[in-house]
Amino acid sequence: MIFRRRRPADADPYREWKGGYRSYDLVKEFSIALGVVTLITLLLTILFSSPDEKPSTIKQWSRSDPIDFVTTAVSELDGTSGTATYGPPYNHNGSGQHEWFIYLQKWLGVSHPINTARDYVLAPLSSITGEPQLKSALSSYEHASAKQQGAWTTAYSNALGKAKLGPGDSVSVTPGAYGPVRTMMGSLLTLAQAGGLDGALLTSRQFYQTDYTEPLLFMADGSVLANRAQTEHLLGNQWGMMNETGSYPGQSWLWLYTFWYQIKPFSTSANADILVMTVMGVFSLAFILVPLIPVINKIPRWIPIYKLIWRDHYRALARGN
Amino acid sequence: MAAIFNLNHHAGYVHWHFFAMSWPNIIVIIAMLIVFVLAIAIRFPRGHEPAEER
Amino acid sequence: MSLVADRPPKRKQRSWTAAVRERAVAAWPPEKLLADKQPSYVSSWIYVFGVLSLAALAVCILSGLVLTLKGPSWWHDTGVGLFFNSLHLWSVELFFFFMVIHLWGKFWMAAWRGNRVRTWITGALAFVVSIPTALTGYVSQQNFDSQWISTQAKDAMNSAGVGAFFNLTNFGQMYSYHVLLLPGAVILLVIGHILLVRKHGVVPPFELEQKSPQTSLATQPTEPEPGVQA
Repeated sequence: MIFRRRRPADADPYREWKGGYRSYDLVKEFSIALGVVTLITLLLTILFSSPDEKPSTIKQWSRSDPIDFVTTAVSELDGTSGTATYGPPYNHNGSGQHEWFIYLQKWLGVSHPINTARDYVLAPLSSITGEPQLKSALSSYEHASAKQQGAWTTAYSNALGKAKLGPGDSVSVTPGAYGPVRTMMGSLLTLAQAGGLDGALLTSRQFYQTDYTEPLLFMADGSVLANRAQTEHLLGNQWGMMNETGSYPGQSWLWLYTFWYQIKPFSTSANADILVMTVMGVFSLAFILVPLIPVINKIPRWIPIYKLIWRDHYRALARGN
Repeated sequence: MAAIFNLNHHAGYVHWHFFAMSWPNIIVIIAMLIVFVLAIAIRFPRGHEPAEER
Repeated sequence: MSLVADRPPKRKQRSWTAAVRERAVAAWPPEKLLADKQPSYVSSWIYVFGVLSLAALAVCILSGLVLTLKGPSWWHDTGVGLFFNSLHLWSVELFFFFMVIHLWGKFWMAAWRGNRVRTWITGALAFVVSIPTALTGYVSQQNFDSQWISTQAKDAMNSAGVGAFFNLTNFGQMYSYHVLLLPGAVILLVIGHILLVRKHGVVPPFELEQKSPQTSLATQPTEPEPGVQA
């Protein structure tokens, strides 16, 4: 193994320093550094504080953009939403991203199953009591054939393209053959605007919950998060990975990660994420192994910035001191 | 505890072809480069002391 | 001087404790671990960026400790909580700022020379592991930033299959990774990095001419300080 190879000292002149030493106080240096960094941090905190933009909720979304909410809900019901067609780790409705024959996303399987029709629409609506019209609509929908369900949802989706806002933040569409879907969506919108859907999507088999996957994916399927992100320059094609909300500095160390998403073929590829992850994986490995990479490990010798760093040492050598 | 400077407003951006970076990020990166150059260029105060012989 | 001074004396040691202690003391005698002398060529401001990075990490951890005392909603609800959150955020910015300058300096010094490859590797790994540490912090904020970052970055994780067991939208999991697992990994890497620096010393300058004696700094070659040099 390369780390265990023992070389004679004279074959590696950089192994041991045989020259002079001067006094040095390690503990004092760290103490001063800690004091200086603490002061700088305090100064930045007092001057600028930190960003804390309040999160979006399904309640807010359904009130501020009910048409977008209902459109998203219908896509969850008919299985055409981003989450519904995502594939692993949420479902088997897609194979996910891949590189050549390597389908890591598919191979690692479904670990967080989400059935968008059931989880986002049917189950929350089933929990509503005291509404016989809704109960009847649900029964009608669940007992219809898949083809009939598809016809209803397609017709309603098309109508939503020309929908208008109705009274009380409701959604108004032209009459059509929507079956029970219109009633179901009306009740879902009411539930969301009352705040009930935020809670319903967090409910699981246990009382305590810390997993926000379902409500987050639901909102991400709509426009509420993306619209906010666009105004803050956080979209992928806006170098968003580097940015922070407001005028705060962001994550400048992610510049190379986000760079690839701006150029072809990554910017137009359906497999952009795995391609970028692969490229950055290779670069990260190369960075870690710089000392072992030919040519790269010679650059510091060829571009002699070291002569500036150690100019005092070289001057002393030249003086023969 | 309100900050002295409110940074909760949209940042300005520099655009050039496909390149787009916020002014705060540009300032941080340029500051890094400047500090690196200064760290090498500015003389370290102990440079004049002769080395001790051991 | 033995070329293999780091190796323990070759006698059979039945006690594991004694064997570990002897190896550790051989590699890091107290006067090397807490040295009060440094090579004369260490004479540039670029050398302070390692300790500045360490100090920034310390401030980050300390401010993070305070945040964990009151739980994740504290900093949304109170000014004091926001203050400590701000300390935590700016210390992270400073950590990356100083660490990048430190690695630039170490690259241009080719600091891996002289059997110091592991020093470079542990430092580079600490940088690479700091990135997901910061990511888990960003998605643990429980604000709009967390919502956006988690729903976007999940695609990168999922595309590589990592999302099957590392769910960015699962706050409980991300908070655990951020508060314990990933900072623990960073701290272990930094400790390893520092121990290697103490063991092998700071890399000597490049020789300007081939075969020129490195010892010509002093009028006479000096014997290496026991336990201080690499």
